[in-house]
Amino acid sequence: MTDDAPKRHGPRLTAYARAGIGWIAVAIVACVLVPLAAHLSATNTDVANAYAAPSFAHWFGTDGLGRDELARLLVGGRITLSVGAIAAAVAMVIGTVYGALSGYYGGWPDAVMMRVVDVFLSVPTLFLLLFLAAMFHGSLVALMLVIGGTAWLGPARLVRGEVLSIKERLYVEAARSLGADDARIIFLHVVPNAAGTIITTTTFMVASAMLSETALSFLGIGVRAPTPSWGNLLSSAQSDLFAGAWWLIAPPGLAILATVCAFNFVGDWLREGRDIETPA
Amino acid sequence: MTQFVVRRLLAAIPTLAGVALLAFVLIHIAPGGPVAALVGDRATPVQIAQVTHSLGLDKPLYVQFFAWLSALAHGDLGFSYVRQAPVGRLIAERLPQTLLLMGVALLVSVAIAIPLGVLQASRRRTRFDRIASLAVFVAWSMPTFWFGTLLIALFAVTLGWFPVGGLQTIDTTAFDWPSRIAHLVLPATTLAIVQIAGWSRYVRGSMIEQLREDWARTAVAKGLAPGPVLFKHVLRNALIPFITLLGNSIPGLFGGAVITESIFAYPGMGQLFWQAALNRDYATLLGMTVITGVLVIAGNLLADILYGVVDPRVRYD
Amino acid sequence: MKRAIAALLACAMLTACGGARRAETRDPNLIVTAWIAGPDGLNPVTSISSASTMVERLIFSPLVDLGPDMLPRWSTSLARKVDITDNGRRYVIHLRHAKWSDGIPLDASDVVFTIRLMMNPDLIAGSASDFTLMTSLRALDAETVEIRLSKPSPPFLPNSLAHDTIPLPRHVLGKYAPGSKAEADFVNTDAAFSQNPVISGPFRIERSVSDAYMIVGRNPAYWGPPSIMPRFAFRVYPQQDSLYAAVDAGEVDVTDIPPNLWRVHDRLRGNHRFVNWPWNVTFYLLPNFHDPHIAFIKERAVRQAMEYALNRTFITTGIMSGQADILDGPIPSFSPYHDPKIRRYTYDPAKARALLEDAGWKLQGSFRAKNGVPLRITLTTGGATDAIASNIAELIQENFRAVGIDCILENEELQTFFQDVHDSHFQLALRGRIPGPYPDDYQSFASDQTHANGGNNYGFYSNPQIDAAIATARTAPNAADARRALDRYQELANEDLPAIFLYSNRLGAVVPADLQGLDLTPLAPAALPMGLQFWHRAKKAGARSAAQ
Repeated sequence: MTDDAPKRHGPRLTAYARAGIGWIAVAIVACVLVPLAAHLSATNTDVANAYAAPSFAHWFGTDGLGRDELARLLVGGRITLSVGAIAAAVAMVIGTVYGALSGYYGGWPDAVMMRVVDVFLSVPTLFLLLFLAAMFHGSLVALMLVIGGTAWLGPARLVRGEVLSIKERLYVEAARSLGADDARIIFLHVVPNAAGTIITTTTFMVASAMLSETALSFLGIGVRAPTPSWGNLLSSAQSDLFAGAWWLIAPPGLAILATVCAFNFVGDWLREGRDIETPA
Repeated sequence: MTQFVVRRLLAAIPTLAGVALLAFVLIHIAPGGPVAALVGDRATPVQIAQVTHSLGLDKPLYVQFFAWLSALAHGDLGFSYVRQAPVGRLIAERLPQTLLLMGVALLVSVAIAIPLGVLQASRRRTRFDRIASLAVFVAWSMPTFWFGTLLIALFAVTLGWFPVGGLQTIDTTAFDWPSRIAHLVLPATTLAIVQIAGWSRYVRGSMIEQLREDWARTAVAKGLAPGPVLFKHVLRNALIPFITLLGNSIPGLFGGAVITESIFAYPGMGQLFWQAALNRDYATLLGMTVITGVLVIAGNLLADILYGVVDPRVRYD
Repeated sequence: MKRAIAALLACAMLTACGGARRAETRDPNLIVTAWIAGPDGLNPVTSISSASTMVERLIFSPLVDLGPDMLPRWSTSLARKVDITDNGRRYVIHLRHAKWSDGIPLDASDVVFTIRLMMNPDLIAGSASDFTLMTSLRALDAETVEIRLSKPSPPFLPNSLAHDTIPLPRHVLGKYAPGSKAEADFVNTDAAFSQNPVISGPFRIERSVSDAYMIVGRNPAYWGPPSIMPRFAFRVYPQQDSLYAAVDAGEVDVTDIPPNLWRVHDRLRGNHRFVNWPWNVTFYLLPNFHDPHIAFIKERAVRQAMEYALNRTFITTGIMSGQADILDGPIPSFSPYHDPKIRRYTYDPAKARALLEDAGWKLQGSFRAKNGVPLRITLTTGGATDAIASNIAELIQENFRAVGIDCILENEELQTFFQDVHDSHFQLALRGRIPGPYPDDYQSFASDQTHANGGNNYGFYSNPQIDAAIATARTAPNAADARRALDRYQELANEDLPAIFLYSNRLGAVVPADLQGLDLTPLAPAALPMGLQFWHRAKKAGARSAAQ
């Protein structure tokens, strides 16, 4: 057994966490800023040059309609990252509010609210997700809402759990005896103490929301053409695996892998860090 | 103990009712309807109206809901006009196949995740831990369909070790074990990889936490060798919350995995649901949601009971 | 501990590898054909999926079979011949001796029963056969059916009798009064017949697992010559790329190769050959002539400009990898009724711009406008799950923008798209349709055939000259008049453009190199070669020379 020495002040950045944060920063900068600067076009078709291998003119080659793959990758990254971030935000906001209210009030409101969560959890998430995404029009906002709207259940339970234990601590009693109203207590005192869990969960949520977008785009109900996203770039390039157009399949696949991995590294580091700080 | 079980059973009833209501509401608020899929593109509005009336879809929603509920109470899950078969029969055909696939994937995941997590915990911060962590994270972050297609390209096409898809060889209708196993390897691996990643991480974390507990440290300080005995106790405590985690994967056990089933041509519940969603096959969608709801609730009940058996503290809440 | 795990893994791998070798051993003489989706019921009057239609053509005998030239082929039809008299108004169908698989003779009463059933209004049927002109239908004797029409109708035999009519057993399905709701309810829900029908064709179902595979073998009760090969297998692979991998791995022998894979089909391993033939599916852009926001679509010059603006050569040879032919006019080029003399809209953006300029649409920035109305249109497609359709839509958008038409793309999921088209909730819809073997565009473009009136004229196109031409073509009393009327219709339609015609499909398939006897018909229901009863493997060259 190795020694853990829990007396550090704040968690140490592991190599993985550093790599993760670094990659996320690079990805965001590249996807947001580079297309603006370099006049890369994700939409100009050039049919004479379709399926061209990487060259100086097109660093990542061209796709089936002659569009520049690098540009599509960067613009697609913008889409995937924003879908991931906003869907995660939606899930976390709904989940946190729901879980905090349920945990704080307890009693029968809690029982009813958790019953509702149970009902949703009894239906396989995939069913809900597929169903909602297939039924509602393919705008990006709808997609974010659908992914977020099916992912809030886990966070709700987690936050409720945290709130239940925080509730018992003395200062909540103290605040109540001073006459503060419920909303203030919940959102200014209780929830911030669960901040660690919330931040960690959000990070993991972004990773899983990005993977959800990929899966939905593969099934054709995620981001729809002509808007590129890493998910639909990867899925439309699948058949090119057999054709040898590796430049169409490797970049989006690796981009998804690296970015989701990065968020997972950071989330894991946050969770480990918290464990070190929290008294056993 | 009996009281515990009875309380849980009673709690399950409103959940079940909620599932039925949820399924019905969702399916009927969705745009598009089953009629278009049934009559095809060349149908006239007169035909469409006729079919809508035949299927009872022009009645008010609450009437349709109670009609469906009462049929359900008689054990009638409805008839799928799209697939020309009773919904019950469709589900009965697919459920065992899904259980087989998901069950195998689950067993493999657990069999690998627990030892992996334990090993990582006991060798924390060594090179083994770092490399295993990296592998686990990469596996966790890979889109399923990409991984599945890569497996097919490598093992089925290039090496020819496993078949691309299907349930088993078509030479016989009898259950052919070797053939079944061969057909399960690639899809189960695709499913297991992601599960192994998540769970081994959890087991690792849980083990580390337990090892840090006062009683464990005291035992080590007092000279108890960090051997199998201590490990057994730490492991047991670490695994108790793992049951909850397993419980979370129960819906998946019955719901199947659309993408994996689709890639490996494995006709399971996920595929059935996806096709039904695309074709707006109301009857099948409703029937499947209710059946999986029932099974999930039953599964969670069993998990709760198991948890209560393993951890006595839970029973007296 | 570690060694135990290693040993366990090794054992598992060995079992699996051994199992794998055994997993796919199969009769090398059994030809395996792959489907993307399996059949959903085998009653021709209620089934929908293309795999269902394909299997129905194997297990049932059609009343009038059509050959690869889309004209009647009597050698494989239940009808020996059909006499058409009274200036095209009286049809007398002479049937062969045939039996159902349960031994009961197949006769004229089955034919009469089936046609009456197809007309039952409560039937949830996929076909929209046109028997409205029929004034009398009766069996003259056990082997003869007489049909009388109120007007001559060239589409009647090829489209209604031939394409859609598959006689069904009256003794099994005819339990209720013909045309009654009870009959419809019974047929709609008869799962027993749908899964295990009483049949009349060259094949019967030996065994099947829903959505996994199906094996068909010779039907001993078939009236015609038995199939050359004794049995065939079909397997379902929902994912296109896995299907391709299965061909590569030798699991599948015959399958359709879609356009995106046709591009690289020569990389497939194994002893294959590839076949390519026209398919009776046409694609076009359907304008909504009633939408006030795009009133400009009523200008013929704008529609013609759109036609010139589209690089249909790239669509057919690039995106579709040669699996499509450019469509000029409503009738595809492989049809015997196509008129080769009509105008060709070759890709000419300069001409498109000139046409628009002359019509008063001047450039304002990137896009054109006239009298304050921008030249902007939304293109709606159902290609959300279809990469090819998406690519085509994107190309069209680019082509339009290049000549100054602002085009917004709306890519929807298929069912939603169908709904929107039926409700006329679109401006320009990228649509496909399956014309009948005899081109009859009455329901598509006749001005009174709006959706509300029971037709398919979702775009509210209205042109009295076209109405007249269509009417003449539908009621021509003889072949020569029909031909003349169709030529006139095509010329008018190609000039006035009720739709912006794009392309007609072709099909590509991979088959074993030595497989012969394929029926490459444009009417292939499941995009696969048909004529399984004639398939055979060519004898080896060595054997042949020895015989000589």
